[in-house]
Amino acid sequence: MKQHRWLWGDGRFSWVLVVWVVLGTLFILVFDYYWRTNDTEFSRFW
Amino acid sequence: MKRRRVLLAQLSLLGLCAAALLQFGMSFPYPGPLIRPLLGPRERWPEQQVREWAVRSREENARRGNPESTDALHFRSDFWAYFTRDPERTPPPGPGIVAPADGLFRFHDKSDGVQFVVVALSFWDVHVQRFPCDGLVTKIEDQGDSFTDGEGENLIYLAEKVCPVQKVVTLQTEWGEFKIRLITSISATRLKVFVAEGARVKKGQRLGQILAGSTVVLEMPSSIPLSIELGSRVVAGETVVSGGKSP
Repeated sequence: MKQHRWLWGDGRFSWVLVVWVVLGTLFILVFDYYWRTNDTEFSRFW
Repeated sequence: MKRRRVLLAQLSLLGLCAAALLQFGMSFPYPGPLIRPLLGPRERWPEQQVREWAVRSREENARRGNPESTDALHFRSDFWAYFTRDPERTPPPGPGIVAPADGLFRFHDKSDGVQFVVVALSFWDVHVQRFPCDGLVTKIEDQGDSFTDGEGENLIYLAEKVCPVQKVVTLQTEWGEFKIRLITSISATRLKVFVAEGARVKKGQRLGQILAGSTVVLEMPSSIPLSIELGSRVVAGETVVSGGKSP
């Protein structure tokens, strides 16, 4: 477990992991909103 | 104790993210419930999704014996509430003729002294139609395929349309005979007319409602000049389509 302390801390989740998950989720939601409301190459491709 | 509280906070945050991502994934490719309230109608209920609901409703009703029935509707309730909205409208003062439906003025055609003003409704338009001017309702007819098979076969804008059912309201007006034709194509015969034959009606009064339909045709004497441009958006009971000057 020692080599995975960045992930699992000392018996808790690492805040690094939590922050990444929260940021990742926000990114997905914001990106989803953006491509639905803007006529971009990507939304046309989609 | 502190450790446990931190773990609980972390788990809650991860749980919220998981729930958000789950909702996102389950709704994909359509918008999830978190961003839906932020979107306009066209993005909130994309056309493809509405078509899927319509097809599913039709299939379910077909299984029950009548594909044209409205017994089973698989539209999501928020869309259905939006689709069946019925806002008040105020006709402009004066003698003009107003649009019978909300939508896009898509075609204009003249034939045998009659002109056809075709308004195409999208899924996001108000689906309540209104009388274009004062008059007397002389006839309300149901028509089946005959419009595309018979009298309407030369009307290019309906040539490729499937028109399972139409209702035609004939109106005697000071400018001659008007007909308002309600046509459905995608999810069929949901045509309601709110008035009876013999009724005297006012401009802008509610005429009927199309549930999951697509086209309204206003037929009037070809001598009446139009004051709207092809391709413009019209609002039932409010947009003046003609100043209504008598020939």
